[in-house]
Amino acid sequence: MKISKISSIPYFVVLLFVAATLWTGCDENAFQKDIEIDIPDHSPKLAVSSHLTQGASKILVYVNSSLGVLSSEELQGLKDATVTIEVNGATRTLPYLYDPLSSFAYPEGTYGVTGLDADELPLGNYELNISVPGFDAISAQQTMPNTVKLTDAEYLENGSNPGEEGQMIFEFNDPSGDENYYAFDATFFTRTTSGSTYTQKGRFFLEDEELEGEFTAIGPIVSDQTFDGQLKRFSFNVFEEFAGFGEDIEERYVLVMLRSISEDKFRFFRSLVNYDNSVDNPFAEPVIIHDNINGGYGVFTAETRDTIKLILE
Amino acid sequence: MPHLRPIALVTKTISMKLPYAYVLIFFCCWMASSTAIQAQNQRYTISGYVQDATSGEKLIAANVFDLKSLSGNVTNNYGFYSLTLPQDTVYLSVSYIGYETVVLPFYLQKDTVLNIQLKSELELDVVEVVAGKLDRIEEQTQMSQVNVPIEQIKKIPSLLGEVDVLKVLQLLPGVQAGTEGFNGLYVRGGSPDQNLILLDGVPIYNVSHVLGVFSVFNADAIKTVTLTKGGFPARFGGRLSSVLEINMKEGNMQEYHGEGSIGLVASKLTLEGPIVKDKTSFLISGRRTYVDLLMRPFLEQEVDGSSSTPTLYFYDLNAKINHKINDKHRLYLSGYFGADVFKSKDRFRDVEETESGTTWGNNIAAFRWNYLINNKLFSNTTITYSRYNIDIFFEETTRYDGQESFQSARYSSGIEDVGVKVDFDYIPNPRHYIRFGASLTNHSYSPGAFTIQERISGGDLLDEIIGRGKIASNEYGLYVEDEIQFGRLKANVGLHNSAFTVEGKNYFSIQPRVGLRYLLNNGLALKSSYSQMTQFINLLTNESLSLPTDLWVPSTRNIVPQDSWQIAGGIAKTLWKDFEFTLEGYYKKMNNVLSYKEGASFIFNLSSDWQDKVTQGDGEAYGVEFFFQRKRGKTTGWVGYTLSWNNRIFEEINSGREFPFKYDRRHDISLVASHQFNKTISMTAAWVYGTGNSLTLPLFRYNTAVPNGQGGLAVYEVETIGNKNEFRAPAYHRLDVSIEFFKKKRKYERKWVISAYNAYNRRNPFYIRPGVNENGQRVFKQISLLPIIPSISYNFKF
Repeated sequence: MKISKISSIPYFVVLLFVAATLWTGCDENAFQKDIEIDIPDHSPKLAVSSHLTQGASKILVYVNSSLGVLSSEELQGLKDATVTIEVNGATRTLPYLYDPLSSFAYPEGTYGVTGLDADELPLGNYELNISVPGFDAISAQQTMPNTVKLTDAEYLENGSNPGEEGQMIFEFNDPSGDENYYAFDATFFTRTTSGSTYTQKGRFFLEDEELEGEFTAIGPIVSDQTFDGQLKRFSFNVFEEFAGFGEDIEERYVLVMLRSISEDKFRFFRSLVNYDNSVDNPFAEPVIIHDNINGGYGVFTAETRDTIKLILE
Repeated sequence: MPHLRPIALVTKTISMKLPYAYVLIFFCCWMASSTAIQAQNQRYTISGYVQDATSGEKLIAANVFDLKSLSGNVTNNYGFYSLTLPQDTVYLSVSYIGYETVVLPFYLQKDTVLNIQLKSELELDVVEVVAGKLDRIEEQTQMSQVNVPIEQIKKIPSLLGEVDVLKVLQLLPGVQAGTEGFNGLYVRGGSPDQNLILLDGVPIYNVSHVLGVFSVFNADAIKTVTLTKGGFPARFGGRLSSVLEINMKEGNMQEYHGEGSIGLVASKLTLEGPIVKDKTSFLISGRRTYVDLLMRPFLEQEVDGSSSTPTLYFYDLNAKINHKINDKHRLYLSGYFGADVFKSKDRFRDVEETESGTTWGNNIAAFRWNYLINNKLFSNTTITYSRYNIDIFFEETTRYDGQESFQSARYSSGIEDVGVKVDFDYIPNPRHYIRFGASLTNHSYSPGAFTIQERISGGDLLDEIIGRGKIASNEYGLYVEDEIQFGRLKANVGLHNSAFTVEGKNYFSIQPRVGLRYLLNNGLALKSSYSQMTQFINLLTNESLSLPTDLWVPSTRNIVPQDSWQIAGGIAKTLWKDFEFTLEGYYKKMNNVLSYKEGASFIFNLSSDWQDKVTQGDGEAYGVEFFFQRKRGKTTGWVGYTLSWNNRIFEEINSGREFPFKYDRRHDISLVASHQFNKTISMTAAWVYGTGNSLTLPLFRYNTAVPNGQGGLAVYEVETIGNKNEFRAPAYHRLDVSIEFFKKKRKYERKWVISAYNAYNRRNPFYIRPGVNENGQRVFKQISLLPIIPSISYNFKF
């Protein structure tokens, strides 16, 4: 390159920078654009969710089908499924339960029965079978966990006013051998002299340093890996969202509940928490929601419960 | 034959005796064989230092070679050399990259000390500067090592005009950059915590400013940069993937000099000179960003008696004192102090004042004592201190009805090392170069603690500390290596032993190291190496971004040390005098590497132990690297190409199936060219291309339902991924250009540097997620970070 040509380089450089800055500044999509990535076509499969509780009055099964991530269709519950549930050799067919007037409780795609007696959801092995025209049939199995009894429960209120943080203690004997999973729950009840009853779920905060679990939609969950076969006492800080202000209170009590949950339930709710944390977070590891359905997607879980009622002053 | 120059700079000649007092017992066999050879003929030792004639800076890895016997050696990290030869005429050639070669003919008849000073080619009008024999790449046993001259580093275009050593290293084959614009170094499939980064021999834990946009290394204070990717000699240990040695300048022993720059985001100034001429020198170099000062008028807000004052800056300070006690003893004291400060002070009328922010930074110091025990045995004793700390704080003072209340919350975490190290270089004859030494480091980890203070209405100050206290551990190292020459075959054979004690648990590791070189008739060298490494400390970080909250944590009872072995083979040759060509293949197996579990977030969380968030697994990396480099001449630069595979397998991730590492890049190309048009103008361009990062993408979606707490069900849409990292982002490529305008004034030199990062404004992928386009269709959206970024800086030197 000749020196005479080089002398004009600074002007070109300055012009380049001015142009580049204008170009970048004017481009409103400089930081985001649509791109194409080849991903395999998705064949829709049935997806199901059902969470059984021993002794509960209802069985609910939610059925829909999967769609490819780039499909523009909306996900919808399926109405034409045949849903059966078998326990200890007895099979029950679940009718479609969706009621447009109560869609909040039973969304479209819900099948089930209500008003069951306590012995209609016993301990034992359950199998769920679902078929829908145009889809491969799916199935799932689940064993109802044995109930683990609370040996003690306490609630120590901080201060004299209701609606403050207190300390909730759960004590139980973990059966040795099998791997067991637990969830902790507390529901506060306030009955007023006017006859109203307010119900509030306690919000849990970790106190026990040994607890290696997660806070999920069903409360803190934990596996017994570190305390297998031991008498275990957990302590949580619990915040009661008191709702009876300004009224005369007749009775206050709390139902302390220890849930023995199946491994699938433990893994499902843990993965759901992790999934929520990872959504739209470019720095989190991606999460697969736990799945235990043969031939499809979703989850089939089971739990048993033991409850103690504590009267509050 | 190199260009002959007269002997001009020999400074002193003395005789030496042979003490053996510092030789450890387990070297007796080596030494016995060495002295047996020596006894066969009357042999004498030439030893001394090689240094820059103008500044007195010691020259590392300078080539000292006898043209008659074809024996030679290179200087060590302190510029010392020793060469033992038979009584005869010697033609001692001394050469170093960028310096004039000198040849000293003399008759060797006694032990001789020659301190040799070389003139930089910059000070010579016309001289043919060629590579010395031993600094040719085919002569070196060491493979998988790259030296980039600091002057070349300074020429390469940089983001916002801030010269960045780490970003230049990202342009080398075998080194992957992480997220665009950030400082992650992924060497041969390793992760950033597997790089041992040494500043004057002291490990530095956080190498980034501003979340990784800039590195902590101020190029004006740096003398050499050497990256070792494999074939690790036994003297290195403690990390699996690389050793990056950065040595600071020592300070000019002859005269005062300074240099500095004024850039868009930062300015820096370096001063050096003699405290006592030829005896003691100093160097001090500082850098500070001033975006906060420039932006303060715009960011400071005061409305209705309330105000907000944000502050954001970082600074670095490098300092060094170098004192020559006598020809046998020399002392060095060096330090680095740097921090990022990000805080905001807010005032709400006279009622409330809050101050919150984050500060993080490194403090390191090294005290070194060089002791020339005799003309064949050199020792260096180093005492090191390194501390990295992050502090996140919030303070609030409220005043109401004449009462003042105060509350504060502070989160602190970090790591602090105190270490001592003794290294010996023993050079009994030209066929052996023995190094041995020992080290002890005390690590003190602070995995994170909250301190909460509260004073209500003038009452007592209440204190509460939540979180885990400090964890202490000790790391021990012992090594021996010998560089042996048998005709055309050279070997570096060594053993590195290390031990680690933490919380009553002891870990031991024996790591053999072998490097071989065989020189063919045509000057082509065949090289191979095998090395085992063990790593006792881990960095809890995410794969995308280096954050100040990343935690350094030790191996524990539950988290076992990481270890690896690596085998490499290749060829090397110098072409057309000053072009270096290497082609290497490698395979590296890594065991017990750490990763966050699925869904675990990088954000610190005191509610659970960090050990619960991580899982350990294995990794493998293999590939081929091609490197063609020219370090001298009007046109310099390199072409690098890497073809590589990098996989991981964890029992708890991806259902236990193997998956590609995020930075598994099949092809990685870098082209760097710098051309000096004339005495006033030079131009540099760097183009990089890499296969896109591996990606995990959702493939399908469905609704899941959970009990809603009121007897019914609540429905959530969830997306489900396929196999981890099974897709590829679009390819990454970028062109950076810079142009420099020099002018030599009567008392100083000045240089304008105008550069453009990402000159053709390529929108490279940072993050890809599903979204909806303008037509309501579901598509993949790509988020990009850095568009074209022009910058300008003014540099001066006096």
